[in-house]
Amino acid sequence: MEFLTSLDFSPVWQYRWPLFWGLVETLWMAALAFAIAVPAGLGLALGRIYGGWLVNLPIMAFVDLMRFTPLLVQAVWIHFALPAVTGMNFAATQSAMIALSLHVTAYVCDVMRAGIIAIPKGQGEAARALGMKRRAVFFHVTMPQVWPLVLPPLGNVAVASFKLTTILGILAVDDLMKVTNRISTLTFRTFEFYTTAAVIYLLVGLLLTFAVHRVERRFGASRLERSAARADRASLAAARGAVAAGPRTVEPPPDR
Amino acid sequence: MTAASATRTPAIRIEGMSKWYGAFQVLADIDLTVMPGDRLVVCGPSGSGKSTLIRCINRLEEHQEGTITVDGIRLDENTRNIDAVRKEVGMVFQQFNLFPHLTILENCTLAPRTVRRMSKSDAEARAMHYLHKVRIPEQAGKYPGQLSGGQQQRVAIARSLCMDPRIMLFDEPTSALDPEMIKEVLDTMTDLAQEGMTMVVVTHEMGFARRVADRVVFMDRGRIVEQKPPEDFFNAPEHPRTKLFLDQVLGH
Repeated sequence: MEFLTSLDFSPVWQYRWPLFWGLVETLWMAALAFAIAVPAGLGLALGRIYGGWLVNLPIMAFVDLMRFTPLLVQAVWIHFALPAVTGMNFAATQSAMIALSLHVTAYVCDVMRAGIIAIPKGQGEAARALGMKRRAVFFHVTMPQVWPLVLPPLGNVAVASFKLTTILGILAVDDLMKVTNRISTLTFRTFEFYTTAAVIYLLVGLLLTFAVHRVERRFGASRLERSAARADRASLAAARGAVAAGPRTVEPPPDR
Repeated sequence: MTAASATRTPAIRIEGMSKWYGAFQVLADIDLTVMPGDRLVVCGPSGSGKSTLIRCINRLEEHQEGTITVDGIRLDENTRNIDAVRKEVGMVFQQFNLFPHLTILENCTLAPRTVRRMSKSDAEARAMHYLHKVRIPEQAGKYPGQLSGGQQQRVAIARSLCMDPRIMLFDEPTSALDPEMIKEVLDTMTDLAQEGMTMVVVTHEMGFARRVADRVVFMDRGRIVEQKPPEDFFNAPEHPRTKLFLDQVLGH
């Protein structure tokens, strides 16, 4: 009881702007890392599936290294060891971004690989039998079926990369967690500021999840089953169109 | 074969062709000639290599020995030749393999648009023409998952025809269908045969073979055991393996 009465959240309002800018830092780092990781992870997944062992093996090693070592250690490696090896110096934010992007890329690679190999072999065979080239098969047949499948796990990765930013404070990055940490040591209101931060993470996390659900409902795998009504309307319209167009549509196609 | 037909280019010519999966030989020393307009039915027990054989004709499978020539084009590693052959050869699969994310109409227009660079309106007019032909134009706006198996297989046939193939390959087109839907697909194939399409059909439908084929090929353990016109094949099979097979499929 004494603990509860001793709580004082009034300094939180006083520090609202530093907290806000911390959240902005967190959000753009997570968003940028995810935006880099999706195409990069897709590329690596393609390497794993279609590349020979010479391509496959290094990618497998990279993915496992990223997944099974802590992001905190990866951030430290990249910020302190990489400059010593390459001679290039990175700002803390740059190092943090590189670490987070690589880390998330590894997860996206796994998600994409699972999605691509889940497409039945017959799909590619039918497309190739029709004379379609590999690129066309990939863009018109494979990927449109992969996206709805990988959407839910990709959403999870997006939420995870948002939460992973909390670790990047190990470098001099002013994300929401680091800002919270600084202010709490300054004001001795540790409990109040960490709780506030937790509520902000929770709210943003819920918002992200909600957004992912919206996207899923629009483009997800269940779309095809649920679209019966819409397709009925579509075929009705097509039939009307055919009737309106008259016999033109039943003429034989021009000879080659 | 008449003297006149001997001078024409065969639609498909396979000579001394063999194929292995690792150490296991699936096709052994296949010789087969299909002339334009021929309607060939390939039958045999499961595992005899009949599906593998027709999958070699559009190079969904590679062969290791011998030659396959389709419409004068030699099938080898040359991707340009493979592309050229695939433009001439349509294929219908046991599992239909329609593209589930595209409507029936889009299934039929995808290849003409991406491979033949046809305009959208031309491709759609052509697709509607062939959908009329397989008698399901009213399904054009639906997705494959909303159609029955028989309807899906007829769409698959229309989709292939949209590429204007000279040769059609059928890989057990009715094996995944409910009995009451088999007829509608076989009728569509019969129509196609009557229009003079060159067809190679792997099937267990002996009634179709009897009515439509002009030659039946019997395969066993990767070899062609016997090939004959249907009346001779069914009434006077020579090889004991053929007799046994016919007893089993016609016996019940």
